[in-house]
Amino acid sequence: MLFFKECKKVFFSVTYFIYLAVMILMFISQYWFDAKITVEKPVEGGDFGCTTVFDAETIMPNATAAFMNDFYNGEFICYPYGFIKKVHPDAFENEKLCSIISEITGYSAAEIEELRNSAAVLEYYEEFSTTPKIQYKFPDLKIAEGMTYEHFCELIDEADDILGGGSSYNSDGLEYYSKEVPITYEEALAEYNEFAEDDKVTGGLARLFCDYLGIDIVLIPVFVAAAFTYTDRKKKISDIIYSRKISSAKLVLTRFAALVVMMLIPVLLMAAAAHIQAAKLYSGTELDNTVFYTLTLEWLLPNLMAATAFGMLITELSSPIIAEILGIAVWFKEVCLGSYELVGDISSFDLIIRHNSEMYRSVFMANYSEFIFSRCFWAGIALVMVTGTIAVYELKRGGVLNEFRLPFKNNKIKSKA
Amino acid sequence: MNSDCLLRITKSNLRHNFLPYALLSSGLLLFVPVIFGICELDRQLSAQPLEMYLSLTGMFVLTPVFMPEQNTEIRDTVRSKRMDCTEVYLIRSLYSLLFMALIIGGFTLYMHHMNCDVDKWHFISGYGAALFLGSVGFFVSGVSGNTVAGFMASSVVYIANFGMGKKFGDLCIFTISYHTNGRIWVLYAVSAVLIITALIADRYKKSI
Amino acid sequence: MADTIEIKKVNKFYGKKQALYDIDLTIGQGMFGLLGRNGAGKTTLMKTLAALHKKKSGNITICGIPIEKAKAIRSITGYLPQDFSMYPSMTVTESLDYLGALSGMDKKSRTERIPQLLKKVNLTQQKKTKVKALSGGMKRRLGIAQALLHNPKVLIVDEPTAGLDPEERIRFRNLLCEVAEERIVILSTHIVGDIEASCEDLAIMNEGRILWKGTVSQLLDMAKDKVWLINTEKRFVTAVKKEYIVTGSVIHGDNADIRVISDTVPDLQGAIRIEPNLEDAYMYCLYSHGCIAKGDEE
Repeated sequence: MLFFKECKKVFFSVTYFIYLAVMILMFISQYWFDAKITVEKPVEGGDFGCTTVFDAETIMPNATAAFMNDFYNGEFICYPYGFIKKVHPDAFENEKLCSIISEITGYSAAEIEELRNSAAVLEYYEEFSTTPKIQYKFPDLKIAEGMTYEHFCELIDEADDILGGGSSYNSDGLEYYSKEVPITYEEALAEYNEFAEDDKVTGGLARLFCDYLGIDIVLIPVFVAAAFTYTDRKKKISDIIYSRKISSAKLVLTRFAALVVMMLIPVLLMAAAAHIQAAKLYSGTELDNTVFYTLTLEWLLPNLMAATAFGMLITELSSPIIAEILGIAVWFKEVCLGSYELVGDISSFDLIIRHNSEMYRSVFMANYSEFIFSRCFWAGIALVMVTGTIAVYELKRGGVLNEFRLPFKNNKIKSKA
Repeated sequence: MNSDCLLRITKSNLRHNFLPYALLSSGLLLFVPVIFGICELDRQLSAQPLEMYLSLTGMFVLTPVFMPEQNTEIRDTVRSKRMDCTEVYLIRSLYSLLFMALIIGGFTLYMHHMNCDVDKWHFISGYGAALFLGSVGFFVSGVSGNTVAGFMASSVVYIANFGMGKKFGDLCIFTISYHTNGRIWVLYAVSAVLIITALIADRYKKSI
Repeated sequence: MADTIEIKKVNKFYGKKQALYDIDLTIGQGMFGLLGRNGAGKTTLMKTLAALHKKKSGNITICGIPIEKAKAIRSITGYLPQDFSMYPSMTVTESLDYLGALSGMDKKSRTERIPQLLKKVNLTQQKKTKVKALSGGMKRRLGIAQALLHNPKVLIVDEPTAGLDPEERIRFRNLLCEVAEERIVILSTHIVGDIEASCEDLAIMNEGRILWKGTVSQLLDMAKDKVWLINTEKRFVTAVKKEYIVTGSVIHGDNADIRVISDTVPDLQGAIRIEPNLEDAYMYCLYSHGCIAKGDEE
């Protein structure tokens, strides 16, 4: 059967071997050791850390004070594309920022300038730095009368726009300035119960498993698919294959299925290993024995399909090197330049879903519909790309695209006889 | 082999086998100011654009060194000539290494001009990162005869460094960014070993 | 310096599989044909002679230079591989210039030699055409030009006419004969016509061994009185093929003319002894060495 023959071809390719090595390495180094540390039931009287509670009256002065400190220092730390970026506003931008502070606090520009001189000053050194930094403190900072939290958010978002985005001064990130309160025993117990009862332990661990493997599964399969798709051209057997009876759709779909299945099998085996590990670590606790496998299929399969289809399509259209470079670019954008929230930040079009914890089920479940949407969306995109691959293959087969190549080809165009 | 021949070989290779990758690497430079601010960065932040981003130059220019002759039809023709194929690979490697130095060195100087806290160690570590990523790709491509696998291996090393950089010890490529206290010379030594091994493996493989 | 290639007791292995068995050959100036079926070991021997493959044992000297001195060997040999190609984005002139530089030719000699060779191989008009845009025949001619570029004493051409149209094949053979006037040319092929039209000396290879070596006329002599033409009814063709080595059959209506090889007079009515051609002789050679048997075609 063609499918098994294609599977065999995948299995004996160098890139598949590297794929196996990478996935196993990532699984062991990232998940296995993290999951080894068991979640213990909280004991009354213990220290359970802190959490933040929303309180507009705390957020507004705290955020404004921090904002003014950066304003006086003339330097704002932003993460517009994931990487840290120090923004130094020019005179025009400073004027606009000053008017925002003015509106928030009710002070005039002159008073704001005066406040700089009267503020308490703390000199400090950042880690590994020899240059002193100044922190301005405003213990009794007042907010303008009648300032609503909604309007405050609007103003702070405006400031974020002036800074080019990615600053800590935007309505989504204001929680950082809210009041910190210790987590109570009851809250800690509720969190634990969510893990042990609602998630039946394995639910939480399966999310952690998918989170770690999800980072690599959006890129590494691109290489395997690209190399596999390129084999015909590399070995100069495209024409022989083109001349066969099999339809382009059947051939491309069979190869796509073979790639996906062969790359999914080791992931499912790792899920089984994680399942066995959980069963040993939490023996005596009721576990959900299917969730590792179902969540792998729900969460990781769409990523695997999308990466595979992407590798196939770009390689068929141009070359495997282009597919790899574009793959790296997409990965870089998603992982390095994307959201740096590791838990609970799921949107409907996210390619990579992050939930880097076995806890916080409720946060995950609050975004569950977005999660499902994103998975369906990417599975759909994968199928669209496969359809595109079939179309390109068919066109090349008919000779329409034979002369079409993007740059960086490492295949020669078939000579005109 | 006279200097004219070396010049011709270098020129041809630069034009036909290097240019696209050099352009791609140069293209990386365009996005640096967008992704990272490069004004008045402190010592640690200054290392990020060099180690985490421009290091990709190494992957792009060193990995495809073996690629033109991985087409078997071309390989036998080139190998039947007086000049050793390894010498051609060495020429390609040398100008690739020089190009990496130009990109990373030039950008380090530019950062210095923009009042970033950079010194020679930023160049050494940024170049070391590029060299290591490139040599991994070079090695896998040379040994397996498959450039795609070379790019794959190099990318894996790059990605792995983001997730567990410090665990790699001296082989972490983000030496200053992650403040690893790694011995950079180890990165250079391992890269040299990988490059030499790949060249030897390629020679051995083809003369069986 | 002797103008011969001496091959003595050469053995070659790919891993555990032996590819060449005790090859003994002496090749002098002019065209030398290496004839054999696909997989006979011709390409392996050619690559070994071009210092691209290492032999396991035995000795090879090319014009007095031992094969181990790869650099010196490559200076005096030109090699055209079976599947010749060049970097697709280079033009014809650029490729020759590049390969000339790899052969250590200085700029002056490259500038002089390239137009001459392009003229010789009739590619002057295509000098600015990219390799990827050349036809199969043109590419093969570019291949021979690159092999001749540094004026080698020995030219090794592996299956150069495979896939060429008849006109292109004749032109290519003539070109080879022309260049063979002043050097050793080794032509490997499985097409007997190529040897017949261009070589005086030849060797026949089978399964990594030299089966026979000598001149074309000696090979023809060997098959003398062994080739027969049988005119019979079409329906007997299959039966004849079972009994004899058939080198050709032409059907005319209900009848057929069949060329067969047989040491004795075929036991068939109307068998006429005919002069062997090289193809017959080659088949007879394979047959007499037990490489093919009666009825193999079936």
